[in-house]
Amino acid sequence: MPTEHSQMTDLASLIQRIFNRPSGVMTRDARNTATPVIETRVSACRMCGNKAWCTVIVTIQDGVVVKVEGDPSNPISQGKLCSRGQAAIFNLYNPYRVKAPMRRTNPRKGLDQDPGWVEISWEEALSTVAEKLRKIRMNDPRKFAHMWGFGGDWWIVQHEAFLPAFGTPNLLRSHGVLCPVHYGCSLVQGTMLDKQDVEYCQYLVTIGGSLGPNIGSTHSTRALSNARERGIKLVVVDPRCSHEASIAHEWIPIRPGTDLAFVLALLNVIINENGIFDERFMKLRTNAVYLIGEDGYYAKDSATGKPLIWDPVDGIAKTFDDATIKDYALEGRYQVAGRTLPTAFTLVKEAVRQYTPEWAESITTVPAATTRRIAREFVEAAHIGETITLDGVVFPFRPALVKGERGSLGKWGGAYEHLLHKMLNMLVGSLDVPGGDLGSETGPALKPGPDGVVMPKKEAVPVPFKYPPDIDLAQFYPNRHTLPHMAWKVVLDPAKYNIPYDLEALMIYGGNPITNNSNPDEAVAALCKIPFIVNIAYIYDEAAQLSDILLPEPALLERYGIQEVGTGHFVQAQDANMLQITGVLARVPVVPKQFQTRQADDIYLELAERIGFLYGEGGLNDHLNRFWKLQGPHMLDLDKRYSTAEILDRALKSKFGVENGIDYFHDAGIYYKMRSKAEAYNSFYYPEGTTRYAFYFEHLLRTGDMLRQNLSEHNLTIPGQDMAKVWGFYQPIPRWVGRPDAAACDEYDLFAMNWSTPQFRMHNSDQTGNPLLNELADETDPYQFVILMNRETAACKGLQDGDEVRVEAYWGGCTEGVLRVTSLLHPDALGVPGNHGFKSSFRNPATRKGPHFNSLLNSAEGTFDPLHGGIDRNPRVKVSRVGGKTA
Amino acid sequence: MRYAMVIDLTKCVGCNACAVACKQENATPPGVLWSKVLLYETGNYPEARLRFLPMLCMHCQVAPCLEVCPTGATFRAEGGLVLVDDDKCVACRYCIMACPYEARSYNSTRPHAYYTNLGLTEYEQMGYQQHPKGSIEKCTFCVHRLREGKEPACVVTCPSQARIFGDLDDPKSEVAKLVASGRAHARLEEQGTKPSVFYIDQEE
Amino acid sequence: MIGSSAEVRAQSQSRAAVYGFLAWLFLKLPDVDFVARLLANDVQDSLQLFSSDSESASRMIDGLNGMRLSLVDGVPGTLEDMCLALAVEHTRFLRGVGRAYGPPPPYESLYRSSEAGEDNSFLLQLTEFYHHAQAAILSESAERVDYLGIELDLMRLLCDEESRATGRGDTIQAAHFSRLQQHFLHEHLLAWAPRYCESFISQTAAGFYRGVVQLVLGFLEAEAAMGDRHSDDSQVLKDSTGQVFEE
Repeated sequence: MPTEHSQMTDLASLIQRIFNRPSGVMTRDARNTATPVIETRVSACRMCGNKAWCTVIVTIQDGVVVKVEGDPSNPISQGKLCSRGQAAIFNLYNPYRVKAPMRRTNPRKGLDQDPGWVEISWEEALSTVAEKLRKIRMNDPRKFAHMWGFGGDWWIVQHEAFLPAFGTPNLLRSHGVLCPVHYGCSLVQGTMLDKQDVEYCQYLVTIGGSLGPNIGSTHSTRALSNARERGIKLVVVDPRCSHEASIAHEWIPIRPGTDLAFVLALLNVIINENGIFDERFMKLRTNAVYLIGEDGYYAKDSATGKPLIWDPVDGIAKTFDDATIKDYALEGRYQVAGRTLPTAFTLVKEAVRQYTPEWAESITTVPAATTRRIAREFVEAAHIGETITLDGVVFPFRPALVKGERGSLGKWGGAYEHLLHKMLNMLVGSLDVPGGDLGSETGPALKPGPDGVVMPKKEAVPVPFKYPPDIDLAQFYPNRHTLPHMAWKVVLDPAKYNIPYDLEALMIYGGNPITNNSNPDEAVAALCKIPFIVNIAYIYDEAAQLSDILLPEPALLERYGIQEVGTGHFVQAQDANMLQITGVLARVPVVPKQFQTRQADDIYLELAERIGFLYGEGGLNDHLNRFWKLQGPHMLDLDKRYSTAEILDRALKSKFGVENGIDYFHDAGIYYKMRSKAEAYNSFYYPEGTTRYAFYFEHLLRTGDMLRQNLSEHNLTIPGQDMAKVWGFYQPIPRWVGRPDAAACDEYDLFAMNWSTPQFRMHNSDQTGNPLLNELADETDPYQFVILMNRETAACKGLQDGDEVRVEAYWGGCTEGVLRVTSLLHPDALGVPGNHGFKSSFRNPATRKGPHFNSLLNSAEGTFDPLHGGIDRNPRVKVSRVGGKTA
Repeated sequence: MRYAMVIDLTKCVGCNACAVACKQENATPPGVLWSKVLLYETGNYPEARLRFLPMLCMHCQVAPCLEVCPTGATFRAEGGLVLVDDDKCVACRYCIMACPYEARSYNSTRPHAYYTNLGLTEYEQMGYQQHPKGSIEKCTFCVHRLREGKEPACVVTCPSQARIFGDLDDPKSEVAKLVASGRAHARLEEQGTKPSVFYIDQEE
Repeated sequence: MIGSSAEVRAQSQSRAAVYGFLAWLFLKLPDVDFVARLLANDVQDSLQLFSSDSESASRMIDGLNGMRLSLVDGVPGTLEDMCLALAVEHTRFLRGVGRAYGPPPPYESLYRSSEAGEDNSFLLQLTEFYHHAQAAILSESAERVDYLGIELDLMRLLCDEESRATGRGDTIQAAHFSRLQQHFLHEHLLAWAPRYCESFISQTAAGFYRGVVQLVLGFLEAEAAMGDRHSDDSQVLKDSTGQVFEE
C-alpha cells in the first residue's frame, strides 16, 4: 500500500519540520554487556529516629536491591535488625518519591490547592533558590530561616554550618515539642540524654517511655532481653499496658499526664517517711549539703565566694571544698554570721512533704500503698553501700534507677519531672555508676563549675539574651528544646512578638512541621504566609505541598552519611558491649540514584557557592572546618570547592585516623574501638570528691532571675504569657504544676495519649507510607490505626468496638477514627497511637488512614512548659460516635 | 537430623522484625505472611496484658497437609522439613483446609503490587518470579539458607533472641534440651501432629 | 514491497524521526522553539491537506491537530506562558505526582503487571534487551528502563542504526537492526503502550498531551500494521524464548 507509506513519509517530514533534534537519551555502547551478578554491600541504617547504630548488609541482584538485613560484624546490632530497618527496600523503591526538581506554578497556597508542579532542571532550581537567598542575604539575612527535621539526619554539610555562614540565626526544627527530654540530664549530668545500664541494673522503673521493646529497637531490646534473663525487675508506669509493661514484673496504670505527682510522692516517701537513702552519696556527691540563703541562692563564703556547708563535728560553716571537713550536715538549719541557713536537703525535704501518696493517688489513681511499696523496693534494690570493681577500678554498685521518656518528660511539667527522676536516682546513688542512670556522652560531662557543682551543659545552658529575639523566641525561653510552634505564631504576627521583620524565605529539610507538631492549622497558615519556601523533599508531603521549589533527595541507600557512636538520640537500655564501644558509622551509596536527585549536602555546598559564601574566612568551608574539627592535612582549603564525599572523607580521617576514611566504609558500616569497662562510666573521670550533682537547682533559679532582669531592662513581658505562672517553672525545687487546662469542664473527661509502635517510630523515612510496615501493622496488630479506649469506659459511654468516633480536644482540634475497646488502657485514657491520618492528597494514601494524634494538640502560651517548651501531650478530650455498628 | 525451632514467649516483644525478615528473604507478595507475630490481649484491667503469638509452618512430623496432598507436591525433605513442589502442585487446596495452624496460603492470581495501581517495583519484579500463580506456599524454615549452613532469617534477626534453631535429634542442641526439659511445648499437641516448632510459654 | 535501498533508508529515517520526536515529548519539556514551529502557519496548512483512509494515519493527524489546537485555543499568552502550561501538564501526567490527574504514568511494568503470564520481571527483560542491543541510557536521564520515553527512544536508536547500515550497504547489519526493532515492538512497546494510550484518551479531557498520546497510538498502530507485513522477519524472533535474540 504505497499510499500509506508515502503518507507516513509525509507525516514524518511534517514532524521533522516541527521537530528536528539530533538525538535522544539512548546511545550505542558496545561495552554495555549483560553481566548478571549478586553482590552485597554494607550500609548504615536510618529508617527511624533511633540513631541505633545499626549497620546493614544490602544484597543487590542485577542492580536491584533484594534484601536489607542486619550486619553480624556490628558489635552493637549483632546481625539483628528491626522491622523498620528491614523495610528500607521500599524506602528506595517508592513511586511516591519526588523524582525531579519541581517548581510551583499556582501562587495560591493551601492543602486544598494543586501546586501546579512543573518539572524544572537542577540548574533552574538552584539558580532560582540562590538568587532569592542572595538578595535576602544582602538585605537582611535574618529574613531567611531554615527548618530541619530528623529525616535530614546523618548530615555532613548542613544547617549548623550553613546557617552561621549565611548569617541568619533562625535555625528551626520541625519537631521537638513532643520530645523535650534533654533538660534534666543536661543540667544534672552534663549530657544531652541519659541511658540505662542494664548490664547491671536490677530494678528499673520506666515512666512514660520504653527501654526498647515498645518500638522493637534492635540493640536495646536485645540488651534488655539479656537483662531479663539475668533477673532484672522491671516496673512500668504507663496508662497503657504496652509491649514492655506486658513483659514487665509490674504494670502500674496511671492517669495520663499525672506522673509528676507520682514521682513527687515517691521522693516524699523516701525522704520524709522512710528516711533511708544513700547518705554518703548525698553528702559527698551532691549539693544537698550546701547552705542556702534567704534568696534561694547558695550561701557563700564572703572571702572566697565559694558555697558553704555545715561541718557538724567542728560546728562551723566551711566552704564545700575545705580540706578540714570532718562531716557534712545533710539536714538542719545553722547559724552563720547572724543568718539562719538551711541545707538544700532540708529545703527539699520540707517542700515535698505535702506530696503524700494519698494526695498523689487523688491525681494519678495509683494507690498510695503501691507508691509506698515502689519507693521501698527501689531503695532496697539499690544495694546502698556496696561496690563493684571493673578493670581494677572500684565503683559504687547501685543497680536501681528511674527512667523517663517522652511520655513523662516531654510535656507540661516535664522539665521538673526529669529533675525529679535525677533526684530519685541521686537518693539511691545511681547516677553514672554501674547499674545506674548514665549520661549519654562520656568524658568531661561531669566537670564542675566554681561552685563545685556539675556545670550545666547542652540544653541547660541558657540561650544568651538579645533583643529582638530570634523568630522562635528562643531568648524568651532560654532552655527550650525546640519552638517551631512559637515560630509560626511569630510569622503570623511578628509585631505582637517584637520581631521587626517578616520572614521572606524558609528552607525545609527532612521535616514535616505540619504533621509532626501541634496545631497543624497554625503551621499551614504560617507556611502559606511565607513568600518563598524551598524544600529538600523525598515525597510530596504536606510541607512540600506548600512549598515553591522542591529539590528531590536520594533515598537512604543512595546517600552518604555519618553518625558517631555514643552520641545521639534514644540510646536507651545499654549493655556492657554498647557502653564500651566508641567509633563511627558512615554510609556510602550502595546503589546508583534512581531519579534526578541530589544529596542535601551537595545542595548546601552548591547554594553557598552560588550565593557567595562558600569561600574565605567565615564561609561555609571555614565553618565546616570548625564543625568537624578538621585538623592538619584534613582541613579544607578555604578557597576550594569540595564534594560531599570529600568532606566526609576528611571528617572521618581527621577524627578516626587516615586509614578510616571513606574507603574503609565501602566494605564496612562501622568503625569502632572498645574502651575499658571503667571508662564507660562518667564517675570514672570524676570520682567522689571531684564534682557534685545538683539536687537543689540553684542554676534554674538563676536562669529565671536573669531572664526577669533582661526582660525588665527592655520593659518587656513574654507576649501571651502569664508571667507569674512562668516564674513558677524557674524554682530551685521541682513542684507540682497542675494541669494547664484547670478550667476545663467535665465534658472533656478523657486524657488523650500517644505512643510509637514497632512499625512507626518517629516519623521519618516515610515509614507511614512504607507498604511492608503497613502490611505488618494491618495483619498482626489490632491496636494500630485505631482509637483505643478502656472497655468499661466505652461501655459507660455506650460505645462499641468498631464504632467510628470523633475525638475533640479541649484545646480545639479533632480527629476521627475507628474505636478499639481494650483492657490494656487506663479508664481515663484515650489512646491514639502512631502518626497517621495525614492530609496531603499527593502522598501515599496509606498515610492518610487512621487518626492523627497531633491534631489534638495545642501550643498556645500558657499551655506549654515555659522551661523546655514541652506541650500538653495529654490534652483533655471528649469522644462521640459518628458512625459504626451501633450508630 | 530434625530441624526444630523453639520460640521463647518470655522473650518475644511482638515487634515483628521476624515477619519482615521472612517477607524479604522469600520475597512474598502482599497478603502472604509465612511468618508473623499476632498481637492479642488477655485478662481484665488492670491485670490485662498484651500477648504475642508467633506463627509459622510447624513442619509437623505427622503433617496433615502432607497426608491429604493428592499429587505428592507436599513432600518430606531433609531434616524433617515439609516442603511444596510447585511443579507438582495442582492447587486443590486440601492442604490449606487440613493445616490446623493456618500456615499455608494460596496464590490465586499473580502477585499484585505493594503500591496499589502503581505497578511492581524493581524489587517485586525480581522477587515475585518465585511465586507463580496457582501455587500453594508456606514457610520453608528458609531451606535455601539451611542448605548454605545458615539459620532461618527470622531466627537471625530477632532482636530479643527469642528464637532458637537446631537439630532436635542432637541431644546436645539447645532445642533438644529445651524440649526434653519440658519447658518448651508444641501447639495443638493433642492433634498428634508432632510439630517441629515449640514454644516456651509466659507465666500467666 | 519496498524497492531500492534509498527507499528503505528513507523509510527507516522517517521512522527514526517520528520515534525521536515521540520520545522527546515524553522525556523533555516542550520549549519555545518547538511551540513556535508547531504553531507556524505552514504546519497548519499541511495538516489541513492531510486526509487519510488509514485509521492510524488519521489518528496521528488528529493527535497533531489536538496538540496544536490545545495551544491555539487553550493557553493565551506568550510562547513562554504556553511552555509553562505544557510543562505543568507534562509534570502532572507523566511524573506520577498525584493520583487524581489521569491514568498512572507510562511505565511498562506498571501496565503489564496484571497480565496473565507467569513472568513479570519486565525490568530485567528490558535491561537484558538493552544489553543485547548494545544500547545504554545516558546517565543524566535517570529514567527507569521501562518508561515510555525510553522505549520510544530505543526504537529511534534502532531505526537510526538500521538507516546507517543501509547507507553503507551493510544489509546484514540493517536486517539485524530491523529484527531487533520488530522484536522490541512486539514483545514490549505494542504489548502495553496502546493500552496506556487508550486509557489516557478515555480518562482525560482534550489537551496537548492527549494529542501526543493520540499521535503515539496512531503511530504504533501503523508500526504494528507494517510489522504484520514483515511477518517473515519477525517470526524468527517471536516464537523463540530462551534464545530469543540469537539470529
